[in-house]
Amino acid sequence: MEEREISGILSKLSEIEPSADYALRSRGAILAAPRLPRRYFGLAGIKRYIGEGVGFAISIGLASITIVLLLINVPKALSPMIGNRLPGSDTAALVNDVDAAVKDIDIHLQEAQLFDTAAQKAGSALKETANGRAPHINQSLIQKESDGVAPQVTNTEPVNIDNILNELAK
Amino acid sequence: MLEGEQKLVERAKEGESSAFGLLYDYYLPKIYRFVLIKVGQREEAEDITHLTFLKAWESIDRYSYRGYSFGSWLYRIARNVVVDHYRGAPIQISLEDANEPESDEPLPGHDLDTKVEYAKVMRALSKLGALEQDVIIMRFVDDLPVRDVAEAIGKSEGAVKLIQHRAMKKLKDYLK
Repeated sequence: MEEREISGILSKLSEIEPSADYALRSRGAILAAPRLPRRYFGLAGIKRYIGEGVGFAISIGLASITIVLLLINVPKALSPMIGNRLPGSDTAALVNDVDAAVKDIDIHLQEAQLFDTAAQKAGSALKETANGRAPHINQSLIQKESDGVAPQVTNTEPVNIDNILNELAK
Repeated sequence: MLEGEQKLVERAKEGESSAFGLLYDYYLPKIYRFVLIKVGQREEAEDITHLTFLKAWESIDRYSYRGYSFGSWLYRIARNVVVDHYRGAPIQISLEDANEPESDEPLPGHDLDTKVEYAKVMRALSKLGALEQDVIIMRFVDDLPVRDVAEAIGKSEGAVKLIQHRAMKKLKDYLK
């Protein structure tokens, strides 16, 4: 058999084909199969894995910065909107309220000190009076002070109030 | 080579199964007959062919175009699957099998004389080494260019031509 005949017979084998049923079943099964994860080799693989690592670090960094910025800026941005609804969130108003409360407390403390001092003085005076050891208290001095405090009545004539009222009634 | 093959490959790499389906439709008959002529049994040929395309689909990312057809890569996978399956066992087709093939896949030809001729060629082919069989099937049955065969078997084009010449000489001797 010559080479040409052999190659002719071999080329006729190209008529062999798989059955349509097999082709359909095999095709469906293959295309339904999951793909393997994409792999990278050599320099491309190294670049990819380094890139993935750097990308992860950058992602974490950016996420952290974003969270910090949000925590700082969101309350500021929202305060004009919620300030009226939440008076407690207004720090300036809170400071003013606290200052006013402190002033009230100071005033009450001063009054309390004043009352305490007056009470102490009154107590010591009463004690001295009770013991008869009040040398500054004598009748002449009291009279003098009483004269100074009492209203000065210059008109010594008795005033007949009834007469005056009667005249007015007329 | 299939027209627009590289675009189909790229689409398949992106996970587009329909693109791989087109590649499958084009290369299935070629790979199937390559495997069938090597193993001689239809069911085994179907299993090996299926496994070949499955491996190709699963690892298509490994394929990169270097001037050779996608088919070269498929033939290379098919050769490896056949080797893994049979560990290089030679084709076992007897004249009796060829005259009355057990396979559901009949040999081409309608009359008995033609079938006998085919059987003789197949028997002579079975006496060749695995690499020589691969070159003869790819070159004369599937009509692949030398460079694609070289890529499929991992040899130079010169080596392919040499293997082809030597294999054809052996076939002529066997068929005297």
